[in-house]
Amino acid sequence: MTLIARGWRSLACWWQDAFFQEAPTTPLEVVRIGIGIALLLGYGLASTNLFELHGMEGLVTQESARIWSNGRWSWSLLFLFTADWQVAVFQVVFLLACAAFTLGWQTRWAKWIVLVGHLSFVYRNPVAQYGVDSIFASTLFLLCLAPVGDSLSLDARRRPVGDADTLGTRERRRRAWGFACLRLIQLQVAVMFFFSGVEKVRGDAWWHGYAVWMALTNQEFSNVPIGWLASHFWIVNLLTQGTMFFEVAYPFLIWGRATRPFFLVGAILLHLGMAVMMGLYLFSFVMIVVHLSFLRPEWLTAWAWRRAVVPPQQEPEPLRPPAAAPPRPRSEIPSTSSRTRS
Amino acid sequence: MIRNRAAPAASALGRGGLLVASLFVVWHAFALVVAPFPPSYLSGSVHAAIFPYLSVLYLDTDWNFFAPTPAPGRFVRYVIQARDGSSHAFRLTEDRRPGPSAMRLRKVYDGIHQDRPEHYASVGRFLCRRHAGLEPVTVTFSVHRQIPITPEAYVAGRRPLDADLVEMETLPPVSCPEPPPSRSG
Repeated sequence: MTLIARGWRSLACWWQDAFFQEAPTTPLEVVRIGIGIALLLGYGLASTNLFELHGMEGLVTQESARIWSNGRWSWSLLFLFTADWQVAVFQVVFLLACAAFTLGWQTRWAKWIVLVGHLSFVYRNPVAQYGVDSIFASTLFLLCLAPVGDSLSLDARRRPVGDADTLGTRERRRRAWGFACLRLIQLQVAVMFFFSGVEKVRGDAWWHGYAVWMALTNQEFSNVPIGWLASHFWIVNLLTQGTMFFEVAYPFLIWGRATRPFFLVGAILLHLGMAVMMGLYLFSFVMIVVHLSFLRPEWLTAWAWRRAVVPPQQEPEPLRPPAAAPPRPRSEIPSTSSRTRS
Repeated sequence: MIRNRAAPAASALGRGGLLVASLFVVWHAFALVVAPFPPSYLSGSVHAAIFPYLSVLYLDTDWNFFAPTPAPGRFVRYVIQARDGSSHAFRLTEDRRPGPSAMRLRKVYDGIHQDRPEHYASVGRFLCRRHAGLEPVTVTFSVHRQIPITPEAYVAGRRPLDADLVEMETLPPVSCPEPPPSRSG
């Protein structure tokens, strides 16, 4: 019985360490800013095609959009509109919310407007969506649940976060929950790479090392001269099989303390390569942003603004197997002075 | 470096809060993993249970970027048949300059397919309005698919869009709406 109790307590301790650390969630804020910039760029610069993509008499009618959704619970505020000027107003409000979300101004409201706006655009024209929209949706949802805006934000300037010794219960709760959301974003990235890698292993083109050639000879993605690759096909083999094995290994080795820096740099280089060679700029940028969720706060402390945003004494623990030690009794936790929030 | 381990979060979230938060974490993590799972009897049953959650949040994604095989290139052209009997050919995808909307528009045009009559009819009617000055009667799409080119052929001087490396399919014409009476009168 004691053994079961100890095992249970060890598991509980591991669970809390893995998902509910009261650690700085600065990487969450980095992801917020990155996703905000990507949304602003993606939707803002596409405003010239707003009515073509989402207008009343655009490429895809509302009926066609509903048929395309094919059983998905498709909802969109844009379905309620009857004139193009309403779509334009919606776009302006959405872009303002994206800007507020990026800057961290009234973040607690802006993030929900951004999520609802993005999903409304997605479901209004499901034909026009691709991978980047799925990444936006999955990351935005978790950012909405998370207490973002606590640092690297205009909100934080108005009510600066104190150091570890002065954290109140509310702040500690926000950190624990924020860390859980950060972990889920990281898990999302790992799952994404796992299935992407495994699907590649299934294909002959990846297994035999010529998939990159197929992608680069596709006129839709051809962004660089490829004559040199045709002459030195071993480079194509290397890029193809390297990508496949990297994606399969990533979800396992990104969690390790020693391996994380290499896999993080590798993932960023992979997506920079895709941006240059295939012209997938927005997709690559968004992928790099979600990979940055794996940044460790102690790496961020090396930056110039570290003292303002990351209390140096509180760093997250890496994921590790259940420890033998029981969880720390509540009575051992040093009392903290409560801090009023404006 | 001496690490200061975080205190157990139960102290901040409370037992009830930790339980609720843990249940959500388990649920969402489960949904993330099950969503892209390949079809099977088991995954189909589980997927059906979480589908509403995935669907409403647009989380139902399979994450198979360029896999298992990168699709060959595909581009779309169309011909406007005008009221005066003349025809006008246009390129839909090839002439688009890269831009933030290029990928989205490309996806819309990629959806033009024999099996999606409601979609290509919708795009067709849009093109009727765009080319209203030509007084269009019909729009006829042609879908062009690339045949993979080998590196040896490329070195020998062949190129991916050479005529013999592209196969074409013509879709049934889409009728344009009649112009308003005020214009025809």
